Amino acid sequence: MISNRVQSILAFTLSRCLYFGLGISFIINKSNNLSIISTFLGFIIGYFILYFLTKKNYYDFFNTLIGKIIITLLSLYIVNYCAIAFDILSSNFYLTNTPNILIVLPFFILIGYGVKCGLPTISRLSEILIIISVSIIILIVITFIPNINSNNYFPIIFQENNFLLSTLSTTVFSTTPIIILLSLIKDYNSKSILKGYIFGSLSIFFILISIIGIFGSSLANLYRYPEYKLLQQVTLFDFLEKQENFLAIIWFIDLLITALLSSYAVKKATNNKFNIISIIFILISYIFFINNYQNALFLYNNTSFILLVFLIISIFIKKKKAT
Amino acid sequence: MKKLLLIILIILLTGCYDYKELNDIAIISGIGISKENDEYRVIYEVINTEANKESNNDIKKYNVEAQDKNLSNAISKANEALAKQPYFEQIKVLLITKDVNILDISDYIFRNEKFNTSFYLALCDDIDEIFDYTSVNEPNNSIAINNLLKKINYDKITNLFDFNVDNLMQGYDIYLPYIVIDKELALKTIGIFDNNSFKRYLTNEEYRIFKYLNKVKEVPIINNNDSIKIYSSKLNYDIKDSNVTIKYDAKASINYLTKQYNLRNQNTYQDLNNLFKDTIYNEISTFINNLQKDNIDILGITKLYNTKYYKNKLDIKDIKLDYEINVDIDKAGTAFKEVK
Repeated sequence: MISNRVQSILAFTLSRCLYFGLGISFIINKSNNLSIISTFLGFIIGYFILYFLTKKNYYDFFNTLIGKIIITLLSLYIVNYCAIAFDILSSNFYLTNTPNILIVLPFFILIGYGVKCGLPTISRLSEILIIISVSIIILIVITFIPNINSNNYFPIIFQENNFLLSTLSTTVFSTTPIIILLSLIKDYNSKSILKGYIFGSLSIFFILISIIGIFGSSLANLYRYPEYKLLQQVTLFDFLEKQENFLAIIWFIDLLITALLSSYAVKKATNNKFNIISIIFILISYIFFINNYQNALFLYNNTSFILLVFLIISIFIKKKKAT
Repeated sequence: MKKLLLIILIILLTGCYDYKELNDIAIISGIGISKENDEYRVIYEVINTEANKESNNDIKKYNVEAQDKNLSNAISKANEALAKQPYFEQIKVLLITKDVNILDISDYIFRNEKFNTSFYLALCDDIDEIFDYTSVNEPNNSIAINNLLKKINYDKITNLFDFNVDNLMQGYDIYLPYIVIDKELALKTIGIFDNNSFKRYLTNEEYRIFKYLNKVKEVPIINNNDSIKIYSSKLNYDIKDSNVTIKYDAKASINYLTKQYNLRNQNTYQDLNNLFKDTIYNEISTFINNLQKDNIDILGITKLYNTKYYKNKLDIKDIKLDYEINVDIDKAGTAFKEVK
C-alpha cells in the first residue's frame, strides 16, 4: 500500500520527468515568448485530463493483455527517454571522456537493482530524494528572481499552429507519464495525484518563467539545454559560483525515479519475461538511440505525438473506478 | 553478488574514468583572441597550480599561444601546446582586439561543451602586453580585469558573453570595456560597436557620463568648479508612440564648493538641485544625441522600443528622445560652510 504522500511525490516527479532535454527546449523552440501562456494553458488542460483519468480504473485494465502491452510500450518508451537524457546530461557536462556504454550501463544496473527491490523501496527512495529536489527548486527560483528582466517576456507574437503544438506538448509531457503510476496502484487517491501534478507543473512553470525572464526567448533558443544553462547563472549567497553540476541533481532525481517506476511497471506487466525483455530493450536503446544522435533527435521532434497516442488510448479506456 | 554490483557502480558512477588530478589540468583563467595577417592568434592565460601561494618568487601564471587561419585549429594548437589537459570552466574574461569579428568566434565557443560561457568580453590593443604584465596587486590578470569590471558595474548577467552575442545576433549594438596598461592594469574607457563592427571608444567625458548612467557611484559632476557626486540613481525609459522619455533620477551629495552657500537653509539645496539638474540634462542629452547621430545605442533603448512596437521597428536615429532629469542633493557632508 502506497501512502497518499508518496503518491503525490511520485506524481510530482513523473509530471516533470519529460522536461529535461526535451520538453523545455521543445516548447521554447515552438512558441518563444508565447510558451509561458501555452504551458500555463497546457498545464490546466492536463489537470482536467488527469482529473478525468483518475476517475477510471487503470489498475484492472492494465492487468488485461491489451493493457499490459500498452503499459509495457509506454514504460519502455519513457525508460528509453530517461536513459538518453541521463547519457546526454552525463556525457555533455560531467563525464566528457567516458564512453556512453560506461555511463548508461551503471544506470541500467541501478534501475535493475531498484526494480528487484520493489515498489516500497522506490517509494522510500523518492521520499528521501524529493526533499533535495524541492529544496533546490526553491533555492533556484529565489536566486533567479532578481535577475529576471520583464522586458524579455515581450513581444508575444501569436502563431496559432505553434501555440497549439506547444500547449498540446505541455499537456502530453505532464500527464502521460502519470498513467504509469495509475497502472501500478490499485486504490490511488485522486486528490494526492492531482496535488503532485499541480506542484510538478508549477515547478516547471517557474523554471520556464526564469529561463525566458533571464535569457529571453532568442538566447534560450540558442542553447540546446537552456534548463542546464540556467543553473550556470546561479550564484549562492553572492560567492558560491558555478554550482550547476550540483544543482542539476534535480533532473537526475526526476530521471532516476521515473526510470525506476517505469521499469517496475514493465516488470509487473511482463512477469517472468522481464529479464529477456530488459536485455533486448537495453541493446535496442543503446544501439539505436543512445549511440545514435539522429535517432535521438527523431524522438526529440516526435515524442509529443507518440505519447499523445498513449494518452488518447488511456482516455478512451472504459473501465470506471469502483466507488 | 550485491557487493560486486556495488563496487562496479561506485567505480563507474563516481567518474573514475574521467578522473584527473588538479596538477594534471591546466586551468585557463582568460583567453585572448586577436587577428594577425588574416590569422587568428589565441593566447591562454593559465594558472600555475604548482606555484606556492606564499612564495613571491614562484610564477603564478603562464601564457600559451597558437595561431591559425581557422579559430578551431588555433585553439586545438594552443591545447596541444599545453602540457596538461585544458580546463575552460574557470574563464573569467575573453580579451579581443577590435578587428576580431565577435560573431565569427562565438559559434565555436557556444558549441563547445567544455566552455562555460559565463565570462565577460573585453577589448584591448595588444593581448601580449596585457597577459604578459604582472601586477603587484593581483598576479592573475584575468581575475584583475574581472575586478576592474565590477568597479563600473559591468559584472551584470546581461553583460556576459552569451548575452552580448545574443544582442549582436538580433542586430543590436553592444559595448565592451577597454583594458590598457597604464602603469597598472586599467580600465580606460569602453568601446562601442555598431552591431558587429567596432565603431569607436568613448571619450573621457563620455565615459564619465556613461559611468553615472550605469549607476557607478562617486562619479563627480562639475558645474563651474562646484561639484557633486551621485550615490544612488535610477534610469528608466517611458516609451509612448515614437517617443522615448529617458528618466534619470539621482540622489547626490556635495563634493566640493567654491562659492559661499548657506547650507543651513533648505532653499539652497533647491537652488543646487536646479543648477545640477541643468548640468546633468546637458551632459546626458549631448552624450545620447551624439551616439544617436552615429546610430549607436548602448543603453538598449532600441531593444526596448522594438520589443514594444515589434511591427514597426526603428533604429535609434529615428526614435525621438526626451529627457526627464531629477537631482536630489541631500547630503552636505560634514561641513555646513564652504571651507576657505
